[in-house]
Amino acid sequence: MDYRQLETILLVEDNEDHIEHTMDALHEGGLVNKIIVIKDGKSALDYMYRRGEYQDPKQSPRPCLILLDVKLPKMSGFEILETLKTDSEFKVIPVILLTTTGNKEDIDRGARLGANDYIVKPVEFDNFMHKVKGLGKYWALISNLTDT
Amino acid sequence: MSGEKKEPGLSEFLLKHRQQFIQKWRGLVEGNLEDEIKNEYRFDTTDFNELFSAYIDGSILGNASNSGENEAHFVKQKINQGWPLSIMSIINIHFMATAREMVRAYYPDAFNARMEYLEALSERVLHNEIVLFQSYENYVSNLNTQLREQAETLTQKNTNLIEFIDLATHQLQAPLWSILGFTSKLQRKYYATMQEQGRHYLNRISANVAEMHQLIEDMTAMLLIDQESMKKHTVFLHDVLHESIKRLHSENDDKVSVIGDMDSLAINGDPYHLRQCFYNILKNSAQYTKNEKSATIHIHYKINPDLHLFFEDDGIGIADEYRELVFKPLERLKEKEVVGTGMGLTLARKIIIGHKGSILLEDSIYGGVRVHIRFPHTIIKKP
Repeated sequence: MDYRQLETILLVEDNEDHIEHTMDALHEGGLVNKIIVIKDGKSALDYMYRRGEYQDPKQSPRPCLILLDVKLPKMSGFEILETLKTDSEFKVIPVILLTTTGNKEDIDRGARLGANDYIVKPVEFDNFMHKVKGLGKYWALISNLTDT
Repeated sequence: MSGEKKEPGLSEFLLKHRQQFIQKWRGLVEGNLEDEIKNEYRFDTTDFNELFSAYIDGSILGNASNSGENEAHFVKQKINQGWPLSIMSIINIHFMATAREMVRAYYPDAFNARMEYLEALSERVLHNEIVLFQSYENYVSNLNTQLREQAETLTQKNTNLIEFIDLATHQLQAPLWSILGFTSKLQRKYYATMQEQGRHYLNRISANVAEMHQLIEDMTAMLLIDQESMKKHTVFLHDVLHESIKRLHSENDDKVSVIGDMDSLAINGDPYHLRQCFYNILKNSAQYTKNEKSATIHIHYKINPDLHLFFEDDGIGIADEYRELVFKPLERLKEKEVVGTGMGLTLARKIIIGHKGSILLEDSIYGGVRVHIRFPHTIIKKP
């Protein structure tokens, strides 16, 4: 696996504030990976399949982790998840769902479609920070191990 | 098929051939009775003559107003003498058969006319029945169509409602999370430099947004929980209870102590929702403590043969008149200021009803409230 592929985290999120909060949490967690933000479902798949503006592989490095919001414009997070997890090329890339509710149906559906984990954007914002920071450390560690 | 023919004079005919009729009839009846019965009940001509008179005048021929009474009198008399009803039935059947055979032999034209009449009658009755049946069939078919259409409409409305709830939930939660994110940032980065009043405002914003978030979560859960949404399988209540206690302890430190257990009880239930239910009950007890002291919750159960679970606390209790009220959505008794949405017990009841059970509040021997849950027919494993 190309080391550079492990550097990138893809954040698929349409809400500007949520992007800011998530990026802050990742950075505060000491995560140094490159984070690419995509704001709608269709563009997320264009990115993964290198279509349209993402045709150039240099501009669309394969992510080592995808943080995927459930509610997105044009195409839902579940549809993206299903597409990626049924594609032999992408199914190994871990996908973590981001959701604003702890709705059991959403969580179960995500698990059925192959999500590796989920983060409920919780009321206790510090918990979210804590979870994302932990995530950052974990993936940074994976990146370093693979690099050496 | 000929039309309706005049009924032949059957009664006159039978009276004319009385002796011949009785002879044939007696032969038929006797031929169909066991010897044992014949000996025991002693059929003689007197009996037959008496019965014949009753029948001949009777409702079978329909020419005497008191015939039914005579016949009934005879039958009653014989039954009093110990004749079984089965014999009376045999006598009656063969009376009709004899009458039919004699008419056929002596008056074939009349007999055929009567048969045609009956056939036409049957045809007409059958036709009417078919028409009636078809109209019923159409009626039932229309009802089924209406029911199917109503079911489809309801399903569509339900789908729309669920989609709306889902969308509304996400759309309502998203800005709340934005606000929380920024208040969290203010608290982490600028709290130290803020004046006391500013800190107070910030804390109130956070607390209110948090409450609104929880309210949306609870209301969504309440709208979506029903029996169909439950994913039931074998659940060990000890595990469910301890996960609920763990969550409660993580939020209340050591303020709550729980005594008792559910041992190795297992029921057919939905663990996710049962966890939510137990947590809500425990949380309620933890909030309504006397003064600010810690809460002790006693848990026990009995089987008789339904499963009864009890959660008893030493809190402030709930007066009789409010014990149903607290299960209504958004109802909060103001005896004590607590953080909460007023949906906890509403959700708990909905979950228990989803398990075909019941939940109610009673007095506790520990001074507070006893939550009594009954699960019928769900026990899979007893301790």
